[in-house]
Amino acid sequence: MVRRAALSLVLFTAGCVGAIGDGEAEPNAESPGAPKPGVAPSEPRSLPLRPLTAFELTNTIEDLYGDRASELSALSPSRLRAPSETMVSSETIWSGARADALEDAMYRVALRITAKLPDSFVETELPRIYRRAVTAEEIETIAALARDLEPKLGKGEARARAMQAALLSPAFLYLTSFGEGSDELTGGELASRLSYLLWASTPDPELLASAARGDLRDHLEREVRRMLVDPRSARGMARFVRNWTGIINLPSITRSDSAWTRALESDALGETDRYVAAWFGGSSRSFGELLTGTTTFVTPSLAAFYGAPISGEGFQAMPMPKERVGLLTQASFLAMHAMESASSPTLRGKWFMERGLCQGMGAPPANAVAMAPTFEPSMQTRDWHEALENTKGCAACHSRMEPPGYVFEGFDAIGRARATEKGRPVRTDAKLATGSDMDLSFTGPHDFARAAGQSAAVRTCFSTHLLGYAFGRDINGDDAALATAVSTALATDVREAVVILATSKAFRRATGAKS
Amino acid sequence: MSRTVSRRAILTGARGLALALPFLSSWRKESGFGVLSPRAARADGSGAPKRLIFWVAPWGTYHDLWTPGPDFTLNKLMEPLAPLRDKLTVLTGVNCTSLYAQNGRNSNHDLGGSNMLTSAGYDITYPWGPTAPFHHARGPSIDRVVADKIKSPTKFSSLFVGDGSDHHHTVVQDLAGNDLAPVYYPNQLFDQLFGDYSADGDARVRARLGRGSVLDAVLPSYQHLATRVSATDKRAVDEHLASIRELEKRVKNATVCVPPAKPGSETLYDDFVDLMAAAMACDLTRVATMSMAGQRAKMRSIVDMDALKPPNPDGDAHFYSHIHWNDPGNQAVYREFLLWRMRLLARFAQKLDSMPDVDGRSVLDNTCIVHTSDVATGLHDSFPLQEWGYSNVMYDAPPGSRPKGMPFLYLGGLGGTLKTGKHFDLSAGDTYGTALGKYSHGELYLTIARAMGISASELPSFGNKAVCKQTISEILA
Repeated sequence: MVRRAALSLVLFTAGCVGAIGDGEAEPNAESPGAPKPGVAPSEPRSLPLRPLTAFELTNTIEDLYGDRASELSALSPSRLRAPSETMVSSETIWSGARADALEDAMYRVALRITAKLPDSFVETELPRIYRRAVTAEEIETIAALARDLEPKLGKGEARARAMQAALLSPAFLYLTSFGEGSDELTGGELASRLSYLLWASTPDPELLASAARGDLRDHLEREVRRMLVDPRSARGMARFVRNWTGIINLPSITRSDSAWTRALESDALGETDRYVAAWFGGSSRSFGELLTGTTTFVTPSLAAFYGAPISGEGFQAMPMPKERVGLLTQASFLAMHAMESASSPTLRGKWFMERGLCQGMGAPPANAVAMAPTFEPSMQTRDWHEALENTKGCAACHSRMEPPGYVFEGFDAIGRARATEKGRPVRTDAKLATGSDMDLSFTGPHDFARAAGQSAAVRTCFSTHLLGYAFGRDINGDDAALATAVSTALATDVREAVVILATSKAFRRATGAKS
Repeated sequence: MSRTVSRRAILTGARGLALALPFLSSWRKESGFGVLSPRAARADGSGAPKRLIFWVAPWGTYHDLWTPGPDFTLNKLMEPLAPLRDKLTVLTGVNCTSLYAQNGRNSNHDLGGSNMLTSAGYDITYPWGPTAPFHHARGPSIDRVVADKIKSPTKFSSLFVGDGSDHHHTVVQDLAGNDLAPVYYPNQLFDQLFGDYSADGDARVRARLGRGSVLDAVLPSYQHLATRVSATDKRAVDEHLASIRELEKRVKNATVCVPPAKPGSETLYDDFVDLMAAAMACDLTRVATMSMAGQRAKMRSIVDMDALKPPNPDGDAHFYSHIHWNDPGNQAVYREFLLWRMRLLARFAQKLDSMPDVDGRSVLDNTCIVHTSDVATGLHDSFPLQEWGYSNVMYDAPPGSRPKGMPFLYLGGLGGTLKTGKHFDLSAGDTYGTALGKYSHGELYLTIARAMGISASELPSFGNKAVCKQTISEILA
């Protein structure tokens, strides 16, 4: 039993040495969310080249051709279960070793979609696939493949190979930011950036037409607003929230409780996606509403898990059970931030410090194990963490990290509500000491969520993450003004915040590369 | 203990945390770019397998049609190999007298068979009575020894196929020296090689063509992209580009394994050749001996009927190799037959040469096909009979004729470790290469074993140590 405590500390203690109020702190690999105010950019703040993610590729092919392209979601490294040395984003499909898997998947997709296309599909499809006007040379490259291979492979295979080449082209797989000699994205580049931010998918014909006409920049806000009322926009925002909450990695974790099944995990992710979509598409769209909503969407099995059985099939709207509120008490978030068989005030608190307040916590010190307090069998989870808070060498970080985690102690390792642990009531009260406007006393998740929803610090941190998601690069002091503007808008309407972001100069900043 | 948190649990939890929300960093950091799989990395190196094939064509040859002229001008019988001249090496004067040294009377097919690939001498028993000696090899044949040393991860460590010969002893002996029989029928060979092979060979060829073309078409766009992006983005694009190049190389250099159609029950020598080429393409084995006598070939299908008529229209090739040595008609028939056999060899070698290996060379380049026989000529004059006091009245040896060397040649240079495109006269000046040259056939095999990568500590000598003391440095590249 002592061993548990000792080993736990390795993980639970997240050293935060020098992180707070120290502008010179080393960027920490464990906390990519920490913005670095005042750090001057070392190069122009153009958008980096970005590959589409497996999720975006899947959406794209479905939106273009009505094909689910399940091969592509199977490429996602998030399906990896084995421990991996490499830190792989579950959003990224690329690595050298995957080139052949992608090549193979794209061929199978191409076989299906070309079967339904007319004979001369290249000229009509290539602009849709490349999301921009294409050159005669680009058409010829693909058309020549079909033409040259047809005598040897037959029409069907030859056409599929041509389509495969288009789907493996960088014009399809990457978002560029060349700007063609200007420091603003070209119309085509901007159209793609917009659609992948707002829809997590390819531009629709209207957006492409505007880019082709060259008037997209003139009517940018109108286009953004049009796209935001399209149902596809919920998809983009839900994806961002999956990233922000960390639940994007839920498929890569295991929980010892047999009630946590892959089916339930899938339902829990579906719940959060639908919850976010309803918020983003609804009438109350403030940031606070995201954290304090009272209607959620559950399947019968998830409802049973929540102790509020429903009948029927599929997802249905349901008032949240009284012990839950908003985004952070959903099973997806609570199960993600826990130990395999225990809740974890450290992990939940660390998430809040890093993703809610943008305060990097860093890694535990090397001698953390030796300093760990002993775990007694009679201890509640919180007892041990409080001991940790009072242990010399641990206190500096854990006294800041643990309290936000305590408010979720009413939920176990898989997010199931509990009133007691070890035969005694669980305690969910907490007093925060974070150096922010969240330094209040709470009784549990309800007042905590309300305060977080009203907190400028939390809202600004959320905005910072949203900028990072949109730009695909680190956010620093140069982005502070935009982050503030987005944060201010978020206080009343997330859609307005997205309009500000999507119409900002930073979102259009190109490298200016010559073709 | 159920509450004990295992280290694994900790790690699982830790991983979930470490993986969370990476999107704020630019995507490159987490993408795993630049981590090529070890397998991919190997494909770039010199990891191509080496293959060794013995092609044993019994009954000897006609040296005046065999031995190359000055400047490696190919003689009549080697004309079928002309397209592969740069990959061909002819060895004249390899000393095979040890084949017959125990038997003062004759250099017959049995002795050549039991000793040609073993270089170990033989024991004689008389299972069918005192007039019918039977020769047992005293050691393993070189193909089995090489297969034992290289331990290739293939379905078969080695194969022995072909028609054998009713007139010569089996040429392959296992590690204990036991005689082995070849796979005698092509359809049996097919079953052994591909009986459990269900892949659609045609689909594989088509896939390679299609994939290769697609990657060819896609590659330039990544090259162009790399020229336009910023320095930091360029690293990522370069790595993607490298992964596509790597894939392209794998696709194009992959030996396409295409099982041929199953042959009928009739023995067709083309079938043997095609099946063995496919076995190499599919990497089913890296060592083989092909006994390509051709005794079951129908002479009528090989040689013009008019030429066959006068001597013996029903005679087999072995018959023509021996009788009426000086008869121009017979010579013409046997010459046509030998040419046919050389075309068969050329067919095999060219098939291997048309297959790209993983290192970009052809499969033939990474192979060595060693051609030899059991006797030097139809006169069995592989050693100096007359000088040793014997005459060979049986086969009309012309008075004063010189002994001839065994017809050795090899195709392919084992990945550049053996010299090719040359004629090595190892006989010290004799017109046709005497059987008393400087190097024994055991030493030739030892040299080839070295080129296969078998070290001196693994194989210090081969066969009869008395005639295997050195390697043939002349042929090593």
